[in-house]
Amino acid sequence: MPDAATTQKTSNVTLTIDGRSLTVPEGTMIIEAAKSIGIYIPHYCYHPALSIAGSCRLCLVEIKGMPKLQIACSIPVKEGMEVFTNTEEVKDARIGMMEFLLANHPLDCPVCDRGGECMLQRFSVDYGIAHTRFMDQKRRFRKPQFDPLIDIERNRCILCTRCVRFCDEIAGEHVMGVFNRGEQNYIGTYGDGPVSNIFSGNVIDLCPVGTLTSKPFRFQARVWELHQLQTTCPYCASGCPVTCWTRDGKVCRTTPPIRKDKGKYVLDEDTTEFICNQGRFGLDIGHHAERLRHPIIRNNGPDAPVTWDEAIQAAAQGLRRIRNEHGPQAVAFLASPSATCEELYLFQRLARSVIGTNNIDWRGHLASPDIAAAFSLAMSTANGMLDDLSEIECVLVLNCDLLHEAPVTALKLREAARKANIELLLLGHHIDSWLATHAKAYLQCLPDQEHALIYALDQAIAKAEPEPTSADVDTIRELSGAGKETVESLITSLRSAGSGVIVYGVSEIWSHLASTVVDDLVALRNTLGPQWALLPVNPERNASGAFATGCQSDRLPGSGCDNQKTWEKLESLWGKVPLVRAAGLSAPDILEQASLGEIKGLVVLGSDALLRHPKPERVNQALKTLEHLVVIDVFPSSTTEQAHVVLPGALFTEKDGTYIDAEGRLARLCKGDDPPEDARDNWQILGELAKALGTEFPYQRLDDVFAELMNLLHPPCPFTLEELAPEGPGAECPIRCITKPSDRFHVLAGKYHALASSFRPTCHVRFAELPTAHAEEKIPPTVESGPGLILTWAPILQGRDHWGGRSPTMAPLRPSPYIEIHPSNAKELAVQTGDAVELRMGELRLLLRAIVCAGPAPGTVHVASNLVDLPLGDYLTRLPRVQLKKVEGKQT
Amino acid sequence: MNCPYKIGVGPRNYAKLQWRIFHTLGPYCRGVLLYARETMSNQNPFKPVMLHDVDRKGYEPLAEYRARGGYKALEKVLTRVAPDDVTEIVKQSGLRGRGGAGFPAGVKWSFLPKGYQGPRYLVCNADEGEPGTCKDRPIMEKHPHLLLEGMAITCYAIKAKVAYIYVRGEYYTAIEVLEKAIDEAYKAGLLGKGILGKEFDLDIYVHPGAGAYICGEETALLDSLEGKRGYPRLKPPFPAVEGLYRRPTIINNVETLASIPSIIEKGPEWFRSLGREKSSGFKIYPVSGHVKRPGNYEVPMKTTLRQLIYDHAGGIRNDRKLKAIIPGGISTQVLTPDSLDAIADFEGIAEAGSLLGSAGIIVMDETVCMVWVAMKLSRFYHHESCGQCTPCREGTAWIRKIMERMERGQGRPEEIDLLLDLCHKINARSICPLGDGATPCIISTIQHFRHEYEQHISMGRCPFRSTEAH
Amino acid sequence: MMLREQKAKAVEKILKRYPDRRSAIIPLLWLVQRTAGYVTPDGITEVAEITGVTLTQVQEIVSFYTMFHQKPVGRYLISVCDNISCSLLGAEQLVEHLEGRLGIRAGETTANGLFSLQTVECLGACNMAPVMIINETLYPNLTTEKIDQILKNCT
Ligand SMILES: Cc1cc2nc3c(=O)[nH]c(=O)nc-3n(C[C@H](O)[C@H](O)[C@H](O)COP(=O)(O)O)c2cc1C
Ligand code: SF4
Ligand code: FES
Repeated sequence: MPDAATTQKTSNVTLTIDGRSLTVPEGTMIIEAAKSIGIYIPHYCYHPALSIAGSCRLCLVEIKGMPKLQIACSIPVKEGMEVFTNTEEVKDARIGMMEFLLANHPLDCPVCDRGGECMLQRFSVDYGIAHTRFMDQKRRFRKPQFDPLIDIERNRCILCTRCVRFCDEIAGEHVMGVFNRGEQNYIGTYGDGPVSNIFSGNVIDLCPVGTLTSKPFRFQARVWELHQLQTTCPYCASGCPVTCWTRDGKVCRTTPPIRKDKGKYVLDEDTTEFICNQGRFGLDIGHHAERLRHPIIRNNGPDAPVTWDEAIQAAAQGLRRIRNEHGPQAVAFLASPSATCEELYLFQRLARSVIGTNNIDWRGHLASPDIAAAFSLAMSTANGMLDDLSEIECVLVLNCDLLHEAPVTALKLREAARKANIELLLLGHHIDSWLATHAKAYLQCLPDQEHALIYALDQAIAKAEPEPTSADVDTIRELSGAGKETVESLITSLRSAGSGVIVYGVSEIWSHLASTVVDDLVALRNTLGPQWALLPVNPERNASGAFATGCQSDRLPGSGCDNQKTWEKLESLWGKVPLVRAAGLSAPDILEQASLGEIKGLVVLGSDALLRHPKPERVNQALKTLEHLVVIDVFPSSTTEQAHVVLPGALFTEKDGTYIDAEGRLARLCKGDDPPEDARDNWQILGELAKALGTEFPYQRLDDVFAELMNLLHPPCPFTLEELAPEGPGAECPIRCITKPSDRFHVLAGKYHALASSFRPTCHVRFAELPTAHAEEKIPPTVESGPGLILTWAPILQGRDHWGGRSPTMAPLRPSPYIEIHPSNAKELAVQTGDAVELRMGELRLLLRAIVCAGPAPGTVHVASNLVDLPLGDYLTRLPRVQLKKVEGKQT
Repeated sequence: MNCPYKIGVGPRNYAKLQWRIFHTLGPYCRGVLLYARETMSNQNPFKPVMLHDVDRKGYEPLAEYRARGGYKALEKVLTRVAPDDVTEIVKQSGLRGRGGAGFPAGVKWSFLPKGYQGPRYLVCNADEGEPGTCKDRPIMEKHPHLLLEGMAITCYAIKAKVAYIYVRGEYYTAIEVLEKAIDEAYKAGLLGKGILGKEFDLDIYVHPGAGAYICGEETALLDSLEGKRGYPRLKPPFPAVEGLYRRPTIINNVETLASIPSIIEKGPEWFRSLGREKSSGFKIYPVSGHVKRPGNYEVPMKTTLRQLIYDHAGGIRNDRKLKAIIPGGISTQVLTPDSLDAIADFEGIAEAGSLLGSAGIIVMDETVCMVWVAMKLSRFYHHESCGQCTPCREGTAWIRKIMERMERGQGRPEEIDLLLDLCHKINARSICPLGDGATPCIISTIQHFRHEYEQHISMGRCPFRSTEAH
Repeated sequence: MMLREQKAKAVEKILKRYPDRRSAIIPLLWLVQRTAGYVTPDGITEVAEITGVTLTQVQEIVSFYTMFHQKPVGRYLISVCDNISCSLLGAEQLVEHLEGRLGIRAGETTANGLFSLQTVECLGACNMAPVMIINETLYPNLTTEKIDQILKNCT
C-alpha cells in the first residue's frame, strides 16, 4: 500500500499529562506522548520497535474518567485526555509491581553482568521497598546450554517477552518462546538450542534485566569501568554506527551507538538501532595473536624483524628501481575496499603523483576486465538511498542475498515492507528468501536470462498503455516461469510507484553478462523515470569510498578520468607534478600484466580483496612473478607470504578515518587503541613511503588529508574530521554526512538527528520459506533439459574473511558450507534441509549441507563462495553446472 | 375477572393476553392479576428447558429432538424473522450472558461493526472450568441439538457463516456427542449450505481445549483457538470488533446459546416473566458441596439461595449447620448464612456482597476450615494463571505460598494483612479478570473468618485438622 | 512422519476446519498424543511442519496446556479432581488411598508402567463430586470402595 502513508490523515490530538498540555499525532501511545515532553514512564515490556505486550503492568497511569489504572503503553491518546503519571495510586501500583517482580528475583547483582545497566535496579531505586516481605523459597530454574554467544539466567527473568517478540517480529523467526504456564513460565528455545539468527545479539540489549547477557563479555568487566568508543562497524556496506566498549584499548563488547542520558552514557534499552552479530561480536580481533607486529624484509633468508627505516627504505628502493628501469607503468597499486577514505586517497596520490601511474584499483577480487567495467558503470550510476524509507514507495531488489551481505539494510527494508510502508519486489537468479516473506511479488530466472528479463520488464513498462500488453507479460512469464498475476502486479507496482529504488548486489554480478545486466538496469531506471534511483550494494565496507576517492583505475577523487578540470586541479594541488592523463589498468588487468611480467612492482594496501579472488592460483602466480611486492596489512595472508617487504598496519579500532557506505553516508571511524608493538597507522606508513620515494606529503594531521579530500568532492563537506566525531565523554554519535558517490555530493548534517532516530535495525541465518501463494508457479522449461543444476555464488558476511574470520567469538558461528536448493529441485532429489549432499563439478567433489529454500531460482543452486573451495574462476564465461546427490545417513 | 390460565390460555399467549388485560383493568384487579400470576407459576411450575430429561442415558438424538419441536425456532427465524430482528428479540428478552460476566447477549451482538463485509465468527465458550460450575456439561452431553440450534439462530442473527465450539479437553463425552450431533445435523440439512432450503450457510466445528482454565476467558480462548498460548488480549479492541483471526467475533457461553431457541419459540416476554427486572429468564444453578442432593437445578432466576440449597438440594448433609456459601464459582466472595434469602440473580447476589458469576453454588458446613478453603482456592489460581502479566503471575504464587504455610499453622501474624495488601495490589491491575478473581476468596474469608486465620497462627496448626471433612 | 502417513485423513479433516493452519496445532497434538501416548519430539516436529510454525511455537503450546504429556504416562492415567467441591467431599483422602494402593505419589507412574496418578483442577462435574477420570472415562461419586472396584477392572 504505497499511498497508505500519504493518504493517512495524521491529525493531531491535544491532551494534558501531569497538567502539561501537549499536542501529538493521533494514535500515539501515552507512553510516547509523555516521553516527548520529557516525562519518563517506567516500563519493561514496552519497546518502540516491537508489538505491544502490555504485560509488565509497570506503566500504569491514571486517566481522568477511567475507574481503573490504565497501561500507558497500549492506550492511544485522545482529544482532551487528562493523564496523571505520578499520583499516589500510580506510585502504589508501581511499588506493587516492583515488589512482585523482585519477590522471586535472585539477589545476585554482585555477579550479574547487567549491573549498572539493569532496569530492575534502576526502578528499584525509585519504587523498591527496603525490606522484602517475601519469606518463602525463591523460584529456581535449571541453567541450560542455550546459545554459543548468549548466556541465559532464567531466575532473573521478568518475562517481558521482548526477546521473544524481537525474534518473531524483527529477526523473522519465532525461535525464542515462553514455555510452561503461570509462575513457572520461562523463556528459551526449543530443546535449548541456539537463537539461530544473525541479529540474535540484540536480545542482549533488549533484555531489561540480566537474563540474557553476552557470553564473550561475561565477567570481563563492569560496564562503568569501560571506555566508550563511538565508531562505525567496519564489516559491511550497511555502515552501522556502533559503540565499542574498551578497556586498555581492548574491545570488550560492541553495542548499538549509545547516547548520553543525564550526563551519563547509558545503553538505551529502548534503542531501535539494531546491529548484526558480525558487528556485535566480531570486533574483538585487535589483540589477535596472529597480528603482524614488525616490519619484515624478505630476501631469500628467514624472516627477521627489521626497523621501520630499513623496511621503508627497502620498499621504496625496489619501487624506485623498477620505475627507473621500466617506467612508472611497470608499477601498480592494489588497495583494499576496507581501507579508510583517507588511506585510499593517499594511496592513489602515491600512485599517481609520486610514482606516476594510474594502475591503481581496489577491485582485486574481480576476475575479468568485463566485470570491472560493469562495476565502474554500476558505481557511477549509483544514486539511491534508503535512509528515508517513508519517502520511498517501492524497492526492487535484484540478485542480492541482502541479509548476508548488508544485514541491517535488509532489516530496514523488511521492517518497512512488514509495516506496509514500502512495496518490496524481488528479482533475479538468487533472491533473499528472508526478505521474500514480506515481498509483494518476486520473479526468478536463470542467471543467463537476467538481462533478457530486465529488458523485457523495461519494454513492458516503456509502453504507454495503462495495462501491460499480454505479449510482454508472456515474454516475462516465459523467462521467469511466474504466474500472470505475479508479473502483472510487479509491473503495476513498478509503474505506479511515485518513488523507488533498485537495489542490486554487485557480488552476484559475476558472469560475462555483467555489463549487459548493469546496462539494462540503468535503462530500466531511465524508463521508470527520475523518481527511481539505483543502489548497488558491495559486500565491502568502503567500496563507495574507494570509488569516491579515486582509488580506481578509471576514477579520480570526486570525478571520472575524462574530466580535464579535475586533472588540472589535482596537478596544482599535488605540487605541479604532471600526471598521466589516462585511465590506468584495472585490477584484473594488473594481475594479468603481472603474471605476464609486464608489471614488475606492486604495492598492496590490505590483501583482503585479493584473497577473495575466484582463482587464487592465478593471483599467486601473478604475485610470484613480481620483482618487488610491498604489502601493508594487519594479518598475514598468502599475499604477505609472497611480499618482499611487509609493513604492519593498523586495524579499525587503532586509527581515525572515514568510511562511506553503500548508500553514500560518510561515517567516522575512531581510534581507541594503538597498533600493537611496531605496527603503525596506515596513513603514516603511506606518508613515509612517499617521503622515501622523494615526495613529502604536506599533511600534518589526518584532518588535513580529510579536508583536502572533501574539497575535491562537490559540494564540499562542511565538517572537519574532528567535528564528524568528537571523541571522548560528551561525544555524540558520528555525524553522518550523506554523500552520493555520483558527482552529486550533498551533506545532510541537519538531518542527522532524524537519521539517528530513524529505524536502523539489523540479521538472520535461517532462510524463511516463501509465502505459499507463489510457490506453485511453474519451473522455467529450460531447466528440465539441462544437464545438472546451474551453480551461482556470492560471498557472505560471516564467511572466511581476512579480518572478521579471525574473530574467536564469531568462529563457532560461521555456518558450515551449505548449498541452497529450490524446493522443486529438492523434491526431485528427495533432499530436505539439513541433509548432506554431494556436489560434483567435473573432478571436484564437495560435501555440503542442504538448505531448501526459494532463494535460488528453480534449476539453480547457490553456495556461499567464501565458505567453500570452488574453482569458480573457470566458470566466468559459461554457466557452471553441477550434479547433486543426497548422501544417505549423514546429517549435517 | 377470570384468571387467564383458567380460560385456557396457554403460556405462549399468556403474556400477550396479560398485557392486553392488564391495561383494561383497574388497580384492584391488577393486584389480583399479579397475585394470580405469582400463584400460577407455583401451580404450574417452570419446566426445565435445558435439563429436560437430563437423567436419560446417552444424548437426545436429532429425531427425538425434532419430534418434540426441536429446530422449529430455527425454521421460524429463517422463514419469518430478519437477522436484526432476532437480535432485537434477544435484546428484549433481557438474556444476560451465562458465562460469568452477565453481559446482555443481544447488546453484545449489536456491537458488531455495521456494514462489515468480511467473515465474522461465532464462538461458543464451552470451556467450563470455574470450580463449582458444571452446568454446560449436561447441556452438551444430553441436548447437543439444543445448543446447535441456539448457535444456528445466533449465527443467522449475526450473519456468521462459521462457528466454533471451544470445548475444554476434559469433556471427552461432550466432544464426542457434539461431533455426532453435528454429523446428524449436516445429514439432515440443518448445517452446511442452504440450511432448511433457505439462503443460509453455516459450518460448526468443535475445537478441543487441552487443560487451561484461562482459556475460558474470551480473548484467551480466541488466542488458543488460533493455535497460540491461551493469553488474554489487551482490550480494546473487543472481540466484537477484532476477534478470531482479527475478524468481528461473538463469544457466548453454552447456556446463553442454549437459552435462545426457547426465547424465539416462546417470546421474550415469557422469558422476562421468569426473572426480575434486570435478570430475566431461567438459569441452571449447579449446587455442590455439603448438600444432601448436589446437582444442577434449572429454575427461574427469581429463586433464592435458600430455596436452592434447602428446597432443591435438600439442605445440609447430616443436617449440620451451614457455615459458608460460595455463590457463583470460586471467583466470587464467600457469603455467610445471613445471605440465604438473597435472590440468586445478578442483582440479588451483588447486594449480598458477592457476584453471581457462573452461578456455581458451593455449600460448606460447620466442619470446614475456611483457611483450608482459601488455601485450596489459592492453589487453583496459582496453577491456572497464564503467567502473562506481573501481578497475577507473581501475586497468585506468593499468595499460595503464604496460604499453604498459614494452613499448616506456620503463618505470621502480619501476614494476614500482607495477604490483603497483595490482593489489593493485584486487583484491577492485571490484564484479565483472572487476577481479580483470585482475590475475593482470600479477602472474603479474612473478612468473615479472620479469627480462623488468627487461630491457625496462634495454635501453630489447623484447628479443624482432627475433625473429619465428610 | 507418523501423522501424515497414518492419520492423513484425520489431519486433512482438521486442517479443513480453519482458515489458518496454526489453529490446527492443538487438535493435531491431540492426535499425536492419542497415537503415541504422549507428545513425542517427532510429533512436535511434524506438527510444526504441517502447520508451518517453528518448533518453539509448538513447544510453547505443549508446555502451556496441562493435558499434554511431554513424557510417557502409564496405561491408565488416573486424574483425580482435588478442587474445592471434590475436596469438601473427601477427594484428598481418595488421593491418599490411591497413593497407598498404587504405591506411588501423585504425579508418578508405577514401575510396571500400568498406572499414572495425578491430581487435577476442577473437572466440571462438581454435582457428582468426588470424581476422577481414568484415561477418557469419568467416574462419579467416588468412595474408597468404588475405587478399589474400578482398579480391579484395570489390568
Ligand atoms: C478467568 C476467566 C474464566 C472464564 N471461564 C469461562 C468459562 O469457562 N466459560 C464461560 O462461558 N465463560 C467464562 N468466562 C467468561 C468469558 O470471558 C466470557 O465473558 C463469556 O464467555 C461470555 O459469554 P456470555 O456473554 O454468554 O456469558 C471466563 C472469564 C474469565 C475471566
Ligand atoms: S490476570 Fe493472570 S491470567 Fe489474566 S493475563 Fe494476567 S497472568 Fe494471565
Ligand atoms: S510497558 Fe506497559 S505493560 Fe509493560
